[in-house]
Amino acid sequence: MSADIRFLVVDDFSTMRRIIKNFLNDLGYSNVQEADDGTTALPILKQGNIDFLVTDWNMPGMPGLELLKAVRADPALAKLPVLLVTAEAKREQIVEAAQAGVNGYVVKPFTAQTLKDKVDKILQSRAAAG
Amino acid sequence: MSETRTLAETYGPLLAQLDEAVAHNDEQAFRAAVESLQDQREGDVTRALRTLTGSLLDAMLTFRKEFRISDLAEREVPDARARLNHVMKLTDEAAHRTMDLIEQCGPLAERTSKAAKMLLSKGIDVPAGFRGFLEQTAEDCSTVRANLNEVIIAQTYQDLTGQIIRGVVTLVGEVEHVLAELMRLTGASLDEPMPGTRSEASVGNGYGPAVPGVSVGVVQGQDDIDALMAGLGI
Repeated sequence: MSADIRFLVVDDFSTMRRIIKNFLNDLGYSNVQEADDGTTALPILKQGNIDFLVTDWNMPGMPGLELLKAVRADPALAKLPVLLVTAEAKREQIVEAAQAGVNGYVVKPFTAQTLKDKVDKILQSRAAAG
Repeated sequence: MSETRTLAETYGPLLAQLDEAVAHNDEQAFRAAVESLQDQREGDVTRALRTLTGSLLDAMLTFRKEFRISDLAEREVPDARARLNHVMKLTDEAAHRTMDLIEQCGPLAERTSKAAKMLLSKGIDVPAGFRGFLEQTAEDCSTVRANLNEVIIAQTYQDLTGQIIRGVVTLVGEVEHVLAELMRLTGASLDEPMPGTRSEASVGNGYGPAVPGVSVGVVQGQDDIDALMAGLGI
């Protein structure tokens, strides 16, 4: 697993962006960019310099689910690993996210271990897929 | 129509005028009598409307007075919104302040832990008690470092409470709008408030954090989600 994986963390709350960035840094990933909703995240993703997207769901502007759909609809981004970290906890939403092609789903509040497990799992399956 | 006057009293003289005009084939007098009849009729309607308007106004004034619409619309509801926004600001500042301090403390604990481990690894001949102290120091500082990380993760509360408060702020904004409309209808002065921008809660936009006793159809924690995701092949 490479420590130079480039992350983009998307959340409208600066607290949450900082928490996730801090957490990723602690895992040894120092290349972490931030965006505050899907509208600002998409142009960053389209530049092609992001390897892993961590996004919230409920955001003004473009919500996370729409961002996920936009990512999957773009041939250049279709295979980008996407982890949803959200307070959204309805069964129908988790099913919807899975159908839209999410790679992992963590509900807030979470523990460091839960977040680590999901990030590791996604990176492992990505490495296995080559 | 006045109840104290009979039809004959109200319309008798006019009917007599009409009769006379017809008898004399006096068109001018006939038209004048018809117009008088119309005036009489419209007067009745106007009086009824005036009474009705008066009652409505009384009811509205009583309503405004008794339900403190003016206080609520002009001061208390906007105040509630400002207070909630302030709570969000305070929790945001507190969470960032906490993280500032943790980011300062974490490396200190790590440095101490590493230093203790380094001293132990040098194999210097030290008294048993001192070796035990170094081992304990290394272990304790690692625990402190790990716990500090959990404290950072725990700041998630600011996002969760913030999202719930933001939902209530939107709701309060809508109540304010409705109250302002009531004020306008009851004739009080109030600047037209900005219509609230509201993105409807839905699967796509999100519902926000689950609130116990309010939200339905929510999962019970991360294990539940993992099981659901596994069932969906992820």
